[in-house]
Amino acid sequence: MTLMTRPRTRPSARQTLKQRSVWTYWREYLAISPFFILFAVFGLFPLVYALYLSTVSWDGLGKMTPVGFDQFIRLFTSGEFQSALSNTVVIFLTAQVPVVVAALGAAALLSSRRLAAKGLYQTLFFLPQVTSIVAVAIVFQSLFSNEYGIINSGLQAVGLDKVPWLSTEWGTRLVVSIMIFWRSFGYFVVIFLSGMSSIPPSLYEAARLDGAGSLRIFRSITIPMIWPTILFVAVTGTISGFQIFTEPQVLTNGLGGPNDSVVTMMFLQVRYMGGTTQTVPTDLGFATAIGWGIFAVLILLAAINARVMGKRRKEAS
Amino acid sequence: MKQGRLAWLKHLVLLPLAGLFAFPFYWLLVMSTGRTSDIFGSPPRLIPGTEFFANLGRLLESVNFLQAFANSAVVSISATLLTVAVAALSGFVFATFRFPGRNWLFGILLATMTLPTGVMLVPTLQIYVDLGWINTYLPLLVPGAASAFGIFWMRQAARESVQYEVIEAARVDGASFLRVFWHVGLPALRPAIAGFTVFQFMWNWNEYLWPLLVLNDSNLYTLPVALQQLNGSYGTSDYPVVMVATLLATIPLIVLFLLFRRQVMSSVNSGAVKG
Repeated sequence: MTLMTRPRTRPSARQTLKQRSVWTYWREYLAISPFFILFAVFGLFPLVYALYLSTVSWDGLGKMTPVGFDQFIRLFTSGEFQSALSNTVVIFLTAQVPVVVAALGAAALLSSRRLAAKGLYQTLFFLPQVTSIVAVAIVFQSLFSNEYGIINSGLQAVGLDKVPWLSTEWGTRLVVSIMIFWRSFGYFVVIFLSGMSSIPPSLYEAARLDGAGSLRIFRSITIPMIWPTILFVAVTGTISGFQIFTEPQVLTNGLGGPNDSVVTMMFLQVRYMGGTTQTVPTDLGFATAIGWGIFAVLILLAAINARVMGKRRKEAS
Repeated sequence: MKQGRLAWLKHLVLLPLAGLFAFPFYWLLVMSTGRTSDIFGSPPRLIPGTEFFANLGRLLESVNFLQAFANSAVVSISATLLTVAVAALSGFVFATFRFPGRNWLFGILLATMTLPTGVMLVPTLQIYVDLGWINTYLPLLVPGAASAFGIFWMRQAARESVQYEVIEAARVDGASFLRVFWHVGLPALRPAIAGFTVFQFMWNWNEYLWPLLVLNDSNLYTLPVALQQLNGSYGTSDYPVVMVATLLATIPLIVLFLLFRRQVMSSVNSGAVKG
């Protein structure tokens, strides 16, 4: 620490050590400048631009029509954003929450030091994470195909009825959720495993000597000890979970599924940009208003997360 | 003895689970090596067939798949190198140099990570239009070149592994700014750079939303966009062709992951990587 805070000692002809002009640090500033320049241009400036774009109606080609607050009124009253928000929440609740719980359980099973083939399990579970979502969506489209899908063939083989997966609202939502589950499970398992590996074994031994069973140990030692990891997963998982786009878009060939059942917030935004199969007239003004809606939802989630985490930290101390 | 029985019970749960997770990969292999009639048959064919090269031939005849493959390789490699280079240099400077406003600037950088600016698609796309960047790879290279997350990661790694005595010694010897980075920073950061590079490459290879929005010329398509288009146009008529393409698009990352498994896993382990 002391070494780090010591000022640069290279002598320079122009200045003494005490009074160095800010400009003599130009190399340092130059080295860190790319981030700040790019963030200003592609992060902050779009926000300002978005204020303006949300007050117009524009198909991207012709003339912009100023419409005042109409796009925001439309955002709140047309019901499209609300239904996209609720689709997003449903997919989040049926995918992200179960996958975290299941991964926690699997990590507990894998955490014992002597388990055979532990690395092999980890690798197998992690493999879906490195495959492209587009590829995953194409494979799942075929697995769950109503007529010729292997899942329905399997159901029929054991005497059950076919399930119209991709032609019903809940079927399509469920397939999207299963895809997310399949793809992110291994990532969470690896994260939880690393959290568990930092728990001192002596804690477990002491508990076992006191006669605690496996479940009791899991509840009273493992969970509290990896609580920071669980919170980290909750925060990052929520933020990415609310931006789901590729899975439903590719699975439904850009159409959004029966009754738009898997049109998430990001999907709706892209749809009004004309960036996916054309089902609505392009309106970049409305798409921008949707962008603001998503922005607000994510800020709200971040605030809730910060509050919950702050509370937990206080309880812990 | 009790331990042994417990282990068996664990495998009893884990083994079917692993099978379930491997199945979609297996099924992709089955479908890309069979005929259309195998897939739509009843009962469907359950084991890999021998039609892989025939399917591959039809794929190469019908669409410019190799072009998309090459595009993806070029874009992913350049984007990754750029991001990693900027992150390593900036992270190293934040960690080991002292300059006015350093902590303040780093605080801003951290704060931007919580700001979901990435969800503003229209104004960003409009900026690309105004810059004349549509149908170029610039939107896939430039905005992502400086990653707050990557700089944060490299700074952490530099704080842990760079020895300040070495830097001081190098400076006393009159080594220039970039020489210090090259000869002290890069070697110390090597493990972190390896992990970040693999991750960044995976993200770039799989990136879908922006290529979909900025590339309209099919000669410029990257793999995910080309795959989606292929699925749209051949999905109902020639399924094995779509599956061969999907398999080929998946293999490079699986190979990369298996080669660098340890770096990837330990990067996730350091809790640094987003989902």
